Formats: sequence, structure tokens, C-alpha cells
Amino acid sequence: MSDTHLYEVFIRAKAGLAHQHVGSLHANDDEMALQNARDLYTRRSEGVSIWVVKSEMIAAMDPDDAHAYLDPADDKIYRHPTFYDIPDEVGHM
Amino acid sequence: MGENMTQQHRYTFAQRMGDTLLVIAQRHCEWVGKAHDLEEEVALANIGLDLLGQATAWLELASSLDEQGRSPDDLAYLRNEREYCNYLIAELENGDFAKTILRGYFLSIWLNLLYQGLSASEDEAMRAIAVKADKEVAYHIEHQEMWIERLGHGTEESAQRMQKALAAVWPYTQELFEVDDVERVLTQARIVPDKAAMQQQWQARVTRTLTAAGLQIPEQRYHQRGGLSGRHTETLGYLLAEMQSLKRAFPNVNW
Repeated sequence: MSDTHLYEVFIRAKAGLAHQHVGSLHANDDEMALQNARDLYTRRSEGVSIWVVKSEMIAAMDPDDAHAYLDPADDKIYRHPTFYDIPDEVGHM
Repeated sequence: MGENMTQQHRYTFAQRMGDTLLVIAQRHCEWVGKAHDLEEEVALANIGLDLLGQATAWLELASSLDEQGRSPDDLAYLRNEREYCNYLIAELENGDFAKTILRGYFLSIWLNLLYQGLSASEDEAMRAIAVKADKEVAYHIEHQEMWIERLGHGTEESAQRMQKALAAVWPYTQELFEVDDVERVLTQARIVPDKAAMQQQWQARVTRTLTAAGLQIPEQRYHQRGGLSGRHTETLGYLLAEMQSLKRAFPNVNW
């Protein structure tokens, strides 16, 4: 089908959480993509909010760069605030 | 006599709604495995299942009012075409996508107006059905309007198919506003909204959408009717034969 775009779908499970990527679909425009997302990804009460983004609009990291991008963070414990005693009342940080 | 008469009338109204929604649900589910893409397949199936849910609610109400004490399954699976009292538009064959969408749209706007009216009904059971169902219908309308706009302004072929579909389905729309004794009694008792008023609103909304999509409403003088009294098109028999075959083949099985 001409003029069909691939869209990525993100659903927010409940208020306060972030939208999570749940899959993709094809549609001709944004309005149709939102409806398709609703039909395909929210039929079992999966969430409260839907985002759709044309896949071509997403800039993604090149997998070959994974080592350069991500490894350096691994071995520097002085970057992580793990030596503090956090009171229980604060909860998760 | 007043009380009993209203029960009989309420039964008839509920049966008409149940039959209409069951038949249109079945038509939508016939698209499974045949839609042009997966997304639309799921959309049509979803709409069908929504309508099936509404049909179930109305058939349960009908069953509770039925003097013969038939169960919802009995009503759905053991009545034949002459007993079915759905509006004819629901049983029209799917045809192409244009016809399916237009047929669905005319019914959706009708349901929306009817359910809005019913949410102020004196009948508590009908009120409950209407409030819940109207949310589903709101989405159906969105979906159908989206397609009508796109197909009307799409290609030459899509516009032609839409115009042909409109000519095919339009003669079945007048029956939706037919007022017989049953309707009159229920409207008087403030159980069911006035269909004449509904027709004007329906006409206005539908005209707006179709005109915006570049489509021309047919000049139609003769409208088909008869569904409410069991006089159906030839296609209903096939639909019921398929839908009822399992129940009739295994009458005493429980799922």
C-alpha cells in the first residue's frame, strides 16, 4: 500500500509511570495510527495513554557504537551515589 | 393491563435492539481473515465484539421480559428469520469496505442518538445499557468518520465506491425511524426517545459528514422496510443458518 508509514507505539500503563514501547503498526497518518494503536495495543486494559511516533522520526543509537557509548559508565563507582544511608521514609531513589 | 402492556412492548423493543445488534455484530466478524491490513482487521473485529456485547445486554433484558421465559441463547439461536425483528440495514451484506463503513456509520449515529435518549429513560435497565454502550459507539463513529473522509477524498476509485455504497445503503436508513404502536407506547411512557426528533438530528449529522467527504446524498423516494415485522432480505437466512448451526447441531451442550 502506498503512503503507509511504520509507527512505533508507546503506552503509559498508569498515571505517574513513563510511556513504554509496546510495538509497531502501519498507518497512513497520525490520526489513523492512534486509532490502530488503540485497537491493537489497548484491548486488555493495558494503559491510560497512547503515543505514536513515525518510526523514521526516531533517532537511534548505532549498535556498533554500543561499546563506545555505554561501557565507560560501568566501571566508575565514584559516579554512583551508593554510599549514602537513606532513611526508610524516603522510599526508593 | 397498562403494566402488562408495557412489559410486552418493552420486550419487543429489547428484542429489536438485540436482534439488530447481533446481526450487525455477525456481519462485522465476517471480515475476520479478509480485511486489507491487520490493523483494520482488528478494528472491525473490535467493533463487532463491542456490538456483540451490546446485543448480549439487550437479549438478556429481552429474556427477562419474555412471557415464554426463553433464555438469551434461545432467543439468539432458536428463532428463525420470520421471528427476527432487526432493522434491515443491519443484515445488508458487507460488500466492499466502503459499504461496510457506510452501513456501520449510519447505524452508529443512530445508536449514539438512541443511547443518549435512553440514558434519560424511565426504564432503569435500558438506562444502564445505554450509558455503557454509548462510550463504545463514540469510538465507532470516530473510526467510521475517519474512513469516510479519507475514502471520499482519496482516489477516484475510492470515491466511486463510496458513492455506489451510499446508493446501496441509503434506502435502508428510513426504517430506523419507523414509529409503530410499540414505539408510540414506549415514547409516551418516557421509556424510549422520540424517533421523529432523532431523525432530524441523524439527518443533519450524516449530511455534514458525507458532504464534507465530497459525497452526494441520493435522491431517494422509496425506502425499504419490513424488518421489524420479520420480512427480511434473502441474506438474513444465510447469516442465521451459519450463526445458529452449532447450537442447532448440539442443542444441549453447555460451554
